[in-house]
Amino acid sequence: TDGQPYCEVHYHLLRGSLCSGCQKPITGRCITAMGKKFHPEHFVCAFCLKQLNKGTFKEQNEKPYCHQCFAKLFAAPNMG
Amino acid sequence: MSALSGVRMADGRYADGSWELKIKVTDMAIKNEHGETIKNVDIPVLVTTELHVGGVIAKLVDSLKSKYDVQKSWSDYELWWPKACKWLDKMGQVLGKYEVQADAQLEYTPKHKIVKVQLPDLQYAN
Repeated sequence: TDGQPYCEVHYHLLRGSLCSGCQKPITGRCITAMGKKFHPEHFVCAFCLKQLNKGTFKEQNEKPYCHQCFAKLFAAPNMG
Repeated sequence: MSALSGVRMADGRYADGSWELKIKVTDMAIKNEHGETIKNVDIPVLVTTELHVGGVIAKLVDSLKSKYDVQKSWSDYELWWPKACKWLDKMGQVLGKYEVQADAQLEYTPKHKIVKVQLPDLQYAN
């Protein structure tokens, strides 16, 4: 980058390719979601910690959830 | 949040109808401020009678994560009410329907526990 040497972490920090889950550089596959980047294995449901596949998650309060946990936690309240 | 939120009335409720529900989270292994590992932690959650059980759990897990940075799967955990001897397992049900009030002490605990069974041949199995 612009002729200057960078350590690995700061190189990826500038390129925006640090994982939001573990804060380490992403060199292989990368998932972009909610404006952040993740290692595929660190993009997990905030409740059950199971790995999420891109495009099949739900978001609540800036946290990703799998469909199952989302339905469980945030389904329409039953007032009756 | 209404303009009245944060104002407490004589009966301990907040003026917007919310109150603090005390929930004990069991089977944890987290470090407290003295570096000791603790197994149970009490978390107060601000709720209303109209909040559903799933919403209580979402708030509880949020505050555990922000207070203690807990990374843990909660898929086996459910709310247990020891005094009434029942699981609050209908996630869409509101607290009022379960008749949970501010004096209730709930536990957030795993559903699957270890059981010791004595078999017909008198052997024990876990």
